[in-house]
Amino acid sequence: MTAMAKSSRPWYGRDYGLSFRMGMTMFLLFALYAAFIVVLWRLRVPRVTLVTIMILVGVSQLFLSDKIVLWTSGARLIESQQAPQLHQMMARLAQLADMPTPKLAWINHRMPNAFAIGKNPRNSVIAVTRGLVERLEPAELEAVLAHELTHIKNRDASVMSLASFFAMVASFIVQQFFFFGFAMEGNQRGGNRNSNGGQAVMVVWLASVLVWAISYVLIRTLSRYREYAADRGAAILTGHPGYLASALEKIQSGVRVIPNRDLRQAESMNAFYIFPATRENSVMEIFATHPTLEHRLHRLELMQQQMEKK
Amino acid sequence: MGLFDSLFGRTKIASGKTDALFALSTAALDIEVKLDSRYAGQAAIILRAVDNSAYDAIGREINDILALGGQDFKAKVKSHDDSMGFRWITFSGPDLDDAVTGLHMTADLIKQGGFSDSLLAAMFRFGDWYLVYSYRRGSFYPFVPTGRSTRNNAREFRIRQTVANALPTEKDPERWYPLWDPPI
Repeated sequence: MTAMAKSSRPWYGRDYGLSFRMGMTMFLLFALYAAFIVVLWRLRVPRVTLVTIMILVGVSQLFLSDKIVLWTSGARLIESQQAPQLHQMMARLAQLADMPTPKLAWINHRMPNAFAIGKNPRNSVIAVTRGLVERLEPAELEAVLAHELTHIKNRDASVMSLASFFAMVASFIVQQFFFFGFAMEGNQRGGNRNSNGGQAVMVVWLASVLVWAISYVLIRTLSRYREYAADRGAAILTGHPGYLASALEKIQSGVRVIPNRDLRQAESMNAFYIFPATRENSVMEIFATHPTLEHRLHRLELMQQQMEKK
Repeated sequence: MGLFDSLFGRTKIASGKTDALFALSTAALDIEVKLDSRYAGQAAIILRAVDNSAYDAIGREINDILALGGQDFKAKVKSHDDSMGFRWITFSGPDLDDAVTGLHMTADLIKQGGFSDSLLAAMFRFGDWYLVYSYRRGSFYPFVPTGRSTRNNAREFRIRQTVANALPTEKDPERWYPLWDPPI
């Protein structure tokens, strides 16, 4: 009886620091985008051009992203008869998290990895590779599924596409600057404002480059925080932070033995995977979509201690 | 789980809703008359095992209390850990009320310990089908397995229709989570 604390506080506590940093990053992104919009508006960027770009970006985010990811990864959906154990694991986790059970997809690749896609929990898919199922113990596999389920629960696909919407608009302006400049100058001549048209175009271009660069760092920071959050969710859903820790270690060592050629093929998928398919550690963490393995293991260890205190 | 929890990436499992379980005691007669299915003397509570010493202590306490039980409590209690990291505490005995009482006692102890989010489901066997109580949703749903990973959806819908008046039932069939190979 003495070991039992009579309280309704969840046994895992809360990570206020993570929530705060995540809120801060989202706020900075929001502020950056607001400033960008003000600049575009003040410099009288033709609305038709701007709206066209935004529609293009929005449509591609809404309708293409999921399909492209599934298509490039070579994942195909599997029915519960084909993998009863995997589906049962998924159903239990979904029931515990009070969510509809996501569909499962299989990737016939020996690199151990997994990802989740879907704009809402009802239409989401979790994909696992053959290497993941072969290499991991059931409890570790469950921890990976729980990590992906938390991504779905946190609506990470929607949050991240929302967070990168104006970054994509800015990058479109930078990349298609030649046409964009013409559109803008043409409009300004028509509007009888020819005195500083060229200057305004340059300012728009510089602003876009700046927004693109700053948002790149901010978006990746947000992405890392959301990975931490998904790790936390996996630890809570499985009740064992240790299983995710050993799963991540196995996935990293599994990625190490895969030939470089295969890794390069998988690289375009890195932002989606539970663990990026790359061996380069020289890349600074602030430009990475995922925290380093060391940092993730450290967080999980802290969680284990925090749980024990309760 | 609200919008802000999603936005800030906070995982909070809703605490288990235990009270609606008692509705089964009164609904049992309805089930017997309308569905011609009797309680088969087998029930279980399914818990997520948590890696925590306080949780282990609760587990031991549950075993002690249920084993002592007293003369009124006639159900036989067993604990079984499955391959997926879930603990099944099974109650066998002819009386449904005993099982409901035992399940409620177990859930209460876990709740008091602050682990109410580890309550997954309670399961009752009626002939060849099961009634499952989901602690997240606080509602019942039918489960009619016909094989290792197949179920009879048509019959499940009929059962839900029949018991809907007597029990709080889960309306969304997507939340009728299967529990294959139960040890009861």
